[in-house]
Amino acid sequence: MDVFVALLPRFAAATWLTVWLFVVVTILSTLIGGLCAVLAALLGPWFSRPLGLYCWIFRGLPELVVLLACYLALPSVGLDLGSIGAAILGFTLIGTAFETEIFRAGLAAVDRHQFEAARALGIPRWTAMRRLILPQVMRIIVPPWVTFAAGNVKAMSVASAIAVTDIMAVTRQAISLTNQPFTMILLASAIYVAIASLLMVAEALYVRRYGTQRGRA
Amino acid sequence: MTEPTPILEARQVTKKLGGNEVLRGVSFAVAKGGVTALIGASGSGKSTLLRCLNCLVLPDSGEILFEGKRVGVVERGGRLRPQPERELLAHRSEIGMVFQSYNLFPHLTALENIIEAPMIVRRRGRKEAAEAARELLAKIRLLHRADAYPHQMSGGEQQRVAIARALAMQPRAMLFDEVTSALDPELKGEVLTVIRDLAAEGMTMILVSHEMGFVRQVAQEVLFMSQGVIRERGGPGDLFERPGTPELKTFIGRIVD
Repeated sequence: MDVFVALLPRFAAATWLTVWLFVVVTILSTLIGGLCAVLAALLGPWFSRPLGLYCWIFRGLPELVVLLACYLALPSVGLDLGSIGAAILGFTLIGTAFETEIFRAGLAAVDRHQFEAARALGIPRWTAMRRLILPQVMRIIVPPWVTFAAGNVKAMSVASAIAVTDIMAVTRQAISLTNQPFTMILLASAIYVAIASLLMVAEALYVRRYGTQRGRA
Repeated sequence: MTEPTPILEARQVTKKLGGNEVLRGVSFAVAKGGVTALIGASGSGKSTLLRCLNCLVLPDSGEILFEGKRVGVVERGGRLRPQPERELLAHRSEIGMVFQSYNLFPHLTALENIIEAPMIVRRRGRKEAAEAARELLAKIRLLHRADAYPHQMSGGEQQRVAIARALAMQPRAMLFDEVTSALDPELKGEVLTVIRDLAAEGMTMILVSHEMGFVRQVAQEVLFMSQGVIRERGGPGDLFERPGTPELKTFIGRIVD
């Protein structure tokens, strides 16, 4: 029991690291992915084609492969980001690919007549995108966005493979210290489920607030 | 005697879309305060012609003139070029357009839908724009729906708000693209009343419509389009009672029943 209590601060620190990593990666991926999808819609094929290729590749690569590349391969070309830096880069590369697709699908789901209505009123394209189209996209993409984010919480566990002391890394240390694999894995599971549940509860609240009252016509 | 300059004029306009010749040399003009109706089977080019007039679609050849000035594709440095987006937007903001499917912004209330373009394009303050919007809502008898979202309104209400949204830009002319086609018969009336009132106020209008009774009431000139050209034109009485081509005869027969 003493060992267990002694381990708690380490689990707390690891949880904090995982949450922090997750939040940073999610924010970066969403911003970059959203921007890429908008640019693809406004700039045309010279931008959207290479972007499509990028998304195709990075949605197909396993997290472990990308993370190892960032952690082990990049230093050999002179870019040493450290384990956390490599984890942020690797997860963001993959996350951006998914978020781009989520936003692209959201943009495609907005009635194209909405663009025409904005143009007919003389509203510039960028302004129309920001004020009229994107607010509609946001409402459409909440469910796929949360689904991907909740999945991404789990994917964060892969970071332990490149020496990030996240929940998974601490769990493994704890198992070897206590020889109680069942308890430790249960604890780790509870933490992951709790984080993902927070996201899903937030989604349910959001949908209740906006999904019906301001639903699409 | 010199004719006053028409507000909108098309000269020999052609347009290909997806390999089809949608417009094959269309010419007509609308004088200030005039009401022109475009009729014809679907696919005859009416909607494309309407979109050429406010430069949502740029013609392949021919000219669009707005108050005597060429718009859309203009001569610059001895060559014909599309106008920069900024000038196209300025032109569009002078011409109101209402669509078959209303196209209100679903995340904005009726009032917010109306004030959006005046705030962005005309740089009106929110208070000033809202005041003008309330006047317009009162005019279309929907002041009590100012804070309703599109999905909370009937089709007829949405379409009236869409008309108010276009009017909020104080346009010099209005284009109506089959604005009652998606509405139940009992809702058509309220929209047509609003358009009729506008005609009475002297608004210049070009409308694509299948409501022959309504066209007969409000239009001074009717253009019958078929396969990308204007096959017949004239006053509504003449055209409907004495169609000169078998196509128009067939078309009228189909519409009436």
